Amino acid sequence: MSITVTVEQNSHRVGIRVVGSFDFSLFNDFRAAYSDYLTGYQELIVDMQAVEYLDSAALGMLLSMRNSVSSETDIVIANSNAFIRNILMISRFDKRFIIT
Amino acid sequence: MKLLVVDNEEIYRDIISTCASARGLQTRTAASMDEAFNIFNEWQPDLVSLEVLSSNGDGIKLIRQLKEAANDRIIPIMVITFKSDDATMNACIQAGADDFLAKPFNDILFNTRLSTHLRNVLFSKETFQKNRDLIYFQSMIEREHRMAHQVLAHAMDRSEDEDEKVAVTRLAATSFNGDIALIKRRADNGLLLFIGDFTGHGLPASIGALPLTQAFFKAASENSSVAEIAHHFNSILIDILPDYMFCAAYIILLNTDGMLEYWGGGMPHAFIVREGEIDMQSIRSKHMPLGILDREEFEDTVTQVKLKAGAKVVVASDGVLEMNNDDGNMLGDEKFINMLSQQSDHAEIGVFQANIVDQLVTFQGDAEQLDDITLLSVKA
Repeated sequence: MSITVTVEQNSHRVGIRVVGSFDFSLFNDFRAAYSDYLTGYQELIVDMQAVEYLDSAALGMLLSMRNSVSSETDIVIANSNAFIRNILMISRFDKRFIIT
Repeated sequence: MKLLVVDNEEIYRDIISTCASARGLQTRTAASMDEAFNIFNEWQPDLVSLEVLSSNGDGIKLIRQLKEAANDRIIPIMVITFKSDDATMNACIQAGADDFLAKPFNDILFNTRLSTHLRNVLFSKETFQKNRDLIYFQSMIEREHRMAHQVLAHAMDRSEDEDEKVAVTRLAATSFNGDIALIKRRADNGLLLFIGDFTGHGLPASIGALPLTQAFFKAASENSSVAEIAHHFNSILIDILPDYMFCAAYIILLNTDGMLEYWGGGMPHAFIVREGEIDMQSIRSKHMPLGILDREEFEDTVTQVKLKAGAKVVVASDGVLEMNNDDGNMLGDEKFINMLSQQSDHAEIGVFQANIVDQLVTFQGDAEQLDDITLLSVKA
């Protein structure tokens, strides 16, 4: 699987780890990954450490996630490499996400 | 699954049929070669057992005929025969047989072989079906991409690409990615430019283009401000695009006095070229792309840049900067700046642009162009 989800025990954090190419092929899988955690969580963390490539479709998928998830929940985009970070910043994703 | 049993002896036709039926296979039998060939063509079995000694013909020849008739389908032929010498076995295998069992045969061995062949047949049927599906979807997508090109070509029809101050180059990739470039000179002689890049590929990427194009030419005729245009375009896209689609864009107005006003969201920085110097700081996206933030949240802050006489502004879609050469190396800022700085300051914009495009094509070599490429140059 290209996406793994971990829920921390006794915690309000959910980690979503994407591996490889983050593109349109993950459209359904990515949506399924967060659909059980739309409300009641403090943080959803999208771990980009193992993402090699990200295209504009992936940005759209992240925006769609932001729309679906409760505004009380922070979405953290974590561990991006320089290439991905640059893409996120050009599109000013820092306005909607926490980029670490 | 269907097994055709070809054997001249009734007892073996029965034994093999019984074994196969016990495993849920449908069976039919043939006592002669002619009969076998006819049933094969009419009934289309999934596998065949064959006694090469069957009457009325040459077993080896039948194997060849059956393999030929099977064409690209995989229909295993198990030779089950009394004539079990090496020469016969070799001849059978050479002719295309998939298995060879000597009579009298052990039923456990027969069942094991049968299982293996059935697995292969099942697997090849699945693969065959998946290939068909893939070919179907691929041709649909190709058609959609052609349609998207046509829709966009129509949308950009009114763009004034021939303006003496502007040059625009659109190199379409096989997979259309939704780049759009529009040019219109306003009544006050200001030059209005729009360079956009829609999310995704194919027809979906082009749906936002039609209303934006109409709105663009209307805005040009009404001398709307850059901020008004940005607001309006964002509203249009918020209404029609799903939440996972947006449009990265520059909206640029170049006034006759060299004052350039722009709104940029989600696009790579532009380049200002003058006297061999390249400025990558002055024109850069400061906003989220169009179609994301709702009307209340949308930021329409416009930036002004005073261009010196003779300065040229180059806007390249990410397809340009992410272009790959034969060795899989990406073009990137550095190589692109190198191309820009070599251009003569006095060149007309058309010549300037043509030189850059030449260098891009040279860089690309035989590598496949993966993205649409849009390059727009404008001279102050």
